[in-house]
Amino acid sequence: MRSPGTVTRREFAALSAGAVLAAAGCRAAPYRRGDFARADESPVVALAAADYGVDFADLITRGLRELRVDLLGRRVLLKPNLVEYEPGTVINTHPSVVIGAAVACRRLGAREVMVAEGPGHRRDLEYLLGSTGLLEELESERVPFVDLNHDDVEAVPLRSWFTTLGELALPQSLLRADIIVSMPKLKTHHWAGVTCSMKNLFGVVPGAVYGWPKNVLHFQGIHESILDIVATVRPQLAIVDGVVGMEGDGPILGTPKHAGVLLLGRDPVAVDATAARVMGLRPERIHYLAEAGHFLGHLDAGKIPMRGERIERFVTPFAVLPAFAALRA
Amino acid sequence: MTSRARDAHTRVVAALHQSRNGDGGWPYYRGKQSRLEPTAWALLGTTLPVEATPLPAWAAPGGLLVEPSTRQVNYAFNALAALSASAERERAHELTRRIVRALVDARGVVIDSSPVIRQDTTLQGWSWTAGTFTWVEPTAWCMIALKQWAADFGGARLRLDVAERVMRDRACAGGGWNFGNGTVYGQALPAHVPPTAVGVLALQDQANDPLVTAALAHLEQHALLEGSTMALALSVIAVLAVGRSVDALVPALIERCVSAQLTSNIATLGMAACALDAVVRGGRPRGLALPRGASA
Repeated sequence: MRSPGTVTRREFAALSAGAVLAAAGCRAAPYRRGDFARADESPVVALAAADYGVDFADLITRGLRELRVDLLGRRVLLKPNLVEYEPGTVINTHPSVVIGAAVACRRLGAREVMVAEGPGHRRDLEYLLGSTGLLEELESERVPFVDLNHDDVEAVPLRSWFTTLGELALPQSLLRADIIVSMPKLKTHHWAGVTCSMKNLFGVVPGAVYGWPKNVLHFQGIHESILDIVATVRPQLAIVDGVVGMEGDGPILGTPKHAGVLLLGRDPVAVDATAARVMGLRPERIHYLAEAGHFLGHLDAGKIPMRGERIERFVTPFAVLPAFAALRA
Repeated sequence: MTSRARDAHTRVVAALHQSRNGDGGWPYYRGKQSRLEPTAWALLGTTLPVEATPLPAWAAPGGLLVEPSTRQVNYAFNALAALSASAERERAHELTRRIVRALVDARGVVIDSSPVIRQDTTLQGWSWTAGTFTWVEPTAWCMIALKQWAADFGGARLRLDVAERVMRDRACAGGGWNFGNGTVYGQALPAHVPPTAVGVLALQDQANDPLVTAALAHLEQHALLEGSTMALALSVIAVLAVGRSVDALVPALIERCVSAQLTSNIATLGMAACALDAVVRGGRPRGLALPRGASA
């Protein structure tokens, strides 16, 4: 099934992608460099997961220990990608991965773990949670779910200014979390090229304030909006469901593509750049990733030491739409 | 079935009262801040007067209501608030008149057309928020408000004509609507139940139009399959508005209300209360059904 909002957003993306970023390249950076200190290196952990029958709690615990993530006493918000439901498709982060992450965070001492999402298409969460099977998993482990589309909000000044928004109303549950974990599905994207832990954060923007889809972000430019949201929200962790991803006309209408990998890291830019490389794509050719590599994190493979399994074993070229042929490695 | 519906209605209304905030409004989830949409739905579900809520205090100088906590104007929820404020009245409440007058002037923006899409991007219905594109749900809600209360407002007829063209333009090939477009890149897209129900409400005065009959058929085939409180409640409201039987839908709605009412989104509870109220009365949904034979 195609996303009903596709055309408008693609048009907006096409109109704005690159144009504003190109303009930004000709003037002072639209952020204060001092606000974005980066570590010298950004390790990314790659773990093999052949299918969704593996013990994700064990696997993710191992990955988080490898990254030396300290969750003791922390309030953790897990943000999966939950957009639409169509039987037999691979649109959303798999419930087993989501619940595995919740259990892992508890094992590592998190004081509170919640799953939170604000779907950009369907606003009927009762339907979406039930049909995807996530509700059953959440109930089995007694993990609370926060509806970010309808949470209380606070106006937050943006920490970069690629868009002209200046501020965004963001959910209080998000703002009060100690650790925000972006948990995307590994997918190609028909407007942005790649959607992973950075693009996944569109879901934190509340629909009850901005509508369905979150159209103001498309008018402002998808690439620009991704940068401003990530710069402002600053997720501390990313866990990518790359077990079965989506190639071609993602994020909704693409084809399942097995990659058999779980990627974890603290730096969303490094994680997304690695995800792009797994898909056989060049991250420096993806507008928002290229720009993010200047201030939000590391894009250069030389700055991304790989832990866990050798990443080469997971690299499998994902098909892309003709408009994105230039992204191929 | 009526006694079960009455019991369910009583429980849902009690849950609404229990989740009401001290300021008289309702949040989306219990204990949160009062918001426009759940307060409007709770008014429709409980038949309380709008003066008992904070909505009159949220009116901005232009007439539209602005939530203090978000400082954003949402056209769809303003239309719903306009309808809820006058649900029990024969003449429009002043709040309703001011909102509807402002909605007549609000519209989605035009974007460039593209050869790869069928959608007419020049049609200006209503957007969710100012400065963005026209979408089905805000257009439908504003249509209902204008049809109900703007018959004598200059410009309303023209806006409704364009809005109806939007609804026809965005309809899915198999009947009904989804949150966005009916066709993209030559591929027909399926309808979803909640926007289809709202679309039927917007066009309830044309119940024999093939566009509406196809949408009703979609509701009858899919409401039970989607099966959520929102899908069922909005379907019951829409089907009752056009005077058709909801016997097949009500048991499932009652079941959902019993199992989910205390943890649900309160706007959705309000939808359920509104639907069950009409079922119990054996009538049409308060505040959302146009007078028989109405035409703005």
